[in-house]
Amino acid sequence: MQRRTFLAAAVSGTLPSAFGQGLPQSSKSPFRFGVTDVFLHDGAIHQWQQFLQARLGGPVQIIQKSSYQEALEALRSDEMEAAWICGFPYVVAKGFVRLCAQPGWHGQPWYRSYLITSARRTQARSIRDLRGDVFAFDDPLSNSGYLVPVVALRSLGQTPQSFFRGTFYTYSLHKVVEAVGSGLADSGTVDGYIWEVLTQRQSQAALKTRIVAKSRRYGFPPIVTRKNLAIETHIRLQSALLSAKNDVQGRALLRSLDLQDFLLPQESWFDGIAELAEVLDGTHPPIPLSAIYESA
Amino acid sequence: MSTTLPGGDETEAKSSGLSPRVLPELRLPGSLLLRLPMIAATLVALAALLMAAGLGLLTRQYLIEDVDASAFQAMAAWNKSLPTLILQDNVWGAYETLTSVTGDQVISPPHSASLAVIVGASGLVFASSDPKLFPTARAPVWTPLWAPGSLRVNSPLSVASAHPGLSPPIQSGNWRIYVSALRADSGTGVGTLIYAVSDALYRQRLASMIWWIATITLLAMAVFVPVVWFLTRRMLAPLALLQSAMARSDDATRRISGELAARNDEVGRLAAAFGRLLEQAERARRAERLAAVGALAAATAHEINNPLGGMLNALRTAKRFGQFDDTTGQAIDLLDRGLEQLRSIAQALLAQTRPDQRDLTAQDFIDLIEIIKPCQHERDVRLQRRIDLPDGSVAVAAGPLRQATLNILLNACHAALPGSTLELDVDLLDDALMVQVRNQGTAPPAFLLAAAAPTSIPEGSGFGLWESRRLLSDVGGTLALTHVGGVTTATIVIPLRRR
Repeated sequence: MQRRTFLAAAVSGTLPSAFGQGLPQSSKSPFRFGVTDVFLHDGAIHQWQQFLQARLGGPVQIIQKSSYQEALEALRSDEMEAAWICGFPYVVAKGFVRLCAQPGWHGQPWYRSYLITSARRTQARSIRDLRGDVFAFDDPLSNSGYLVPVVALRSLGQTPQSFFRGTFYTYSLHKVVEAVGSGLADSGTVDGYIWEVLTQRQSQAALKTRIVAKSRRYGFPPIVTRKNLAIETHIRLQSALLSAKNDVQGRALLRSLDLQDFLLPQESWFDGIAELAEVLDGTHPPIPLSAIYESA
Repeated sequence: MSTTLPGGDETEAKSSGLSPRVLPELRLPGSLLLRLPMIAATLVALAALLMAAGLGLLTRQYLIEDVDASAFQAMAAWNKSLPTLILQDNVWGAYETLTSVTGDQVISPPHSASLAVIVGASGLVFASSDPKLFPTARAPVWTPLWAPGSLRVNSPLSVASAHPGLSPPIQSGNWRIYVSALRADSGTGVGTLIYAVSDALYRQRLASMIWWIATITLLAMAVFVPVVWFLTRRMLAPLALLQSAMARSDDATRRISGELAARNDEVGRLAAAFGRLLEQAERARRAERLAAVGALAAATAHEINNPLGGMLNALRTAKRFGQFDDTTGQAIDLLDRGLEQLRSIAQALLAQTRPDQRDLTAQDFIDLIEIIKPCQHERDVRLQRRIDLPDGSVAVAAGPLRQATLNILLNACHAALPGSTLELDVDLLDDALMVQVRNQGTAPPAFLLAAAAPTSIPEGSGFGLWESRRLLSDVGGTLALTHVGGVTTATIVIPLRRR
């Protein structure tokens, strides 16, 4: 059976026997699913746990990691079976993780990186206007929260240290919004999905910020499993996620995350991030700024 | 202003014949019934206000101490966590640590009641809880915390013992500022922490507590001031009643004072004393009336005495030189005796008003014997007399002695048993005259037997004796009354006048 056929069959529920059953009874240890502070909303952990336990048929432990680095290390050291990470960590960790499912925001596997600043600072239209700022990054392994603006600076022949007055990491995308909203940072870089959701929810911090520039689209942060995980378990998780919108708990989870669906992921969706990573590594020539940020 | 008597004293006022609603005396502007309750109520109010003020000041002090304690606690915690975060260049971590205490500027209103600033070793702001006032990676501008002329530093010693390494609180305008050096485990200085707490942090609580204190104080005053007012008025009401009764001077006065005298307090004693005073005043009034009657009688006697003398002279001249038949002679004799008796009475009345008029003679006693004859006849009493006086006069005021002796003889005559004998003995001692009258009969009342004359006029019987004692005391004499073996003896001793 071809891989794609196999997955399609799993989604349609036509796979025989084992895939329709729960986790192996011999396995007493829970299924460990990692999340980072990046995507957490109120009640999201509980929603994840309820959904996964119901669909995997066994105990599920949600493990919260404070950085992508910690999440990758936990996957590599078999401390977790799966995790929701950013596209950049996935590109970095391709050697030991594999794509499982791709959240669909507005039904699409894409998102953008936003440069944001104080809402009162209306003149800033480009990253060039942010020179001399105190700049807030999310995580050194975040695509939208680090990689995109740093590569953009490369195109200007700058580094964060040379371009900004000061920088710091919040290790949380919504905290980047808070840092800019409070004035702790003059500007910052944030996942467009996060900023839009916060704004939609009338977050006080988000309402005190405005978008300076939006990047071109990149692959949405994927859900990955470690490569040494039993393929049946990988498939079962994938099947559960891809059919999430078909049951009540799945829809509740999607609603809490402001997502519409989970998609079958494709490697090509992360080519853009891989290209940025190569620029950062110096194995790829700088990309023109206009090819990174489109407009506000 | 009308004033009502409170509680049971209203009933008291009713029973006393006073208006139950209004005591006119209470309208006096200086009335104790107004002043004392007002003073008591004012003192209660002042005490309550004083306590409230003290409580307010104490509350403020405690709140400031609470603010200091909380600040030192926060500083101590920050001193442990912040150096590591600074060394890690974790601006967000430091911000979160600061705002976990102060609140952040996203959720809280702008410029909350406290703020904290970390100044790095470079002298630039590393992080602050209010990045808009103290922007990250810029030199701090302390203007928001700086209140020229109002800086006040608490005693360093008070802090050093309890919180080593921390500065004492610095008061700058409305800010209370705490400063601490941030040091890594190695002891290297990594920055300075400035924590400022606005007065607003405790002023709101202080205002709330003061509101409660004021409310409770006013409530207490609203309850206790009327209670004190009521109780004081209630205590003073009998005094007002007494004062009102004293002003009335009618039949109710004696009754009210009598009722109030039953109280076992100062008002009761005052009422009792007032009652005694009333009695003395009444007796004095009666004595004055009697004196007036006496004066009138004396004047009448004086006016009668002269015509009587003329009539007697004429009658006796007629008897001596005239020729009358037996019937006319008997009538003239009867007329003579009657006129003589009238003259004796007139002269006795005159003697009472003119004690110094003349010295005593034996004839005065003869006159008295003559005067009591009607009584002797009426009571069937004989008289045995012994008058040992020299010829001529004795240096004793005749008037008072005559009247006193007459009163005693008349009393003895009326008190003597029918058929018994009255005894009259008159002796001249060395420097005094003694007159004794004895009669057989029942014992006189005990108060009449007392050696000293009563100070007040006796009720009912005994007035003659009281009058005699008074007349004798006017000329230095005494009257003693004894009763032994059924015989009552009245003894008059009157000193001879010095010539």
